[in-house]
Amino acid sequence: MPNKTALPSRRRILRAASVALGAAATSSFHVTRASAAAYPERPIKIVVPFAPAGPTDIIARILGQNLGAALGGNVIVENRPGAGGNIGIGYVAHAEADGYALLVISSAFVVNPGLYAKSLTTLSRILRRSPNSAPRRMRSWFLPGSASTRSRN
Amino acid sequence: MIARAKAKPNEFNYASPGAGTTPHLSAEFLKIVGGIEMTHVPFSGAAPAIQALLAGTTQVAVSALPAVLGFIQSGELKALAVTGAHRWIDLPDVPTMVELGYKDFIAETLQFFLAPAKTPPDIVEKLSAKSLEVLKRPEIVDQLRSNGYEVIANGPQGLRQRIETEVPKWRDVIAKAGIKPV
Repeated sequence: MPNKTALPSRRRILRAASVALGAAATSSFHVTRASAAAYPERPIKIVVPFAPAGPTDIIARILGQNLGAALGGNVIVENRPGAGGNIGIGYVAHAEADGYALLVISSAFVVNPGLYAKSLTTLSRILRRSPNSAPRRMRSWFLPGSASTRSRN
Repeated sequence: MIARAKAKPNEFNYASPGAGTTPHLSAEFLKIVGGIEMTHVPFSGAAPAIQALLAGTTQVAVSALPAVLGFIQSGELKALAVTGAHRWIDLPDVPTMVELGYKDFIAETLQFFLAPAKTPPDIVEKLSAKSLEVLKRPEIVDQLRSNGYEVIANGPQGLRQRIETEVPKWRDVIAKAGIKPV
């Protein structure tokens, strides 16, 4: 099994995962902690960073209910509102990356990098290195599962 | 509404689903291009924002369609405009901002489905395949449409590209609307 000698960097993991997603091929990232064949073995949590009954909550519940049935498991929706969505984003970003904590998020995900300058000051070193890389930290936190929907304002 | 807001500056408070949401940015952009003043009242999501509007706490609100479609169809709320590129199929009488003369005023709220970056690729692949399958079912497309959603479901690579184009787009809107990062 390749690449088992050292912990791969986050970016390397991201790259490996992207390749696997695009080609559905074997990747160097075989040191998985959970097996897709057995997944899900317990309820999957979808975090919604806004209050119940809003647009993000509604789509999360419709998707979650049907996705749970399609996966042969249960999907529960948990609302974690606050800080324009950043609380829920941060919760999932730092959750165990085992497929049991997922995120459904509105366009706040693509707006917040341009809006919450102060809350992202710890990223200033990254920002200075590459002016267009404000979302890099967010990109490195998340892999897109699938695009879902859009709604008109 | 624009004429009245111009006649009586600051008469309008507007509810939004929160600071930094696309409805908030759309309203701030409207203040600029419409030349009006309104006071922003942010809530922790569209549902409480719309409750405030229904209760008369604010005079207007900006929201993604799913939170308001039922209230519009029941007549409890009056839709002034949609910010999408085209009229919403189930609200054929509500004009777009572009039709009202606001050139390039197109704002759509996207919903993203994401997993932490270190999630094993085979699990991401399974989640992606199943969620795309679900989202493309005709009955789900219909159910979502009746709730105010249009399905895109373009998969991980398409979503990755969309995220990378959306971030600079909204950064530009934030700059043009003069919103200071918080």
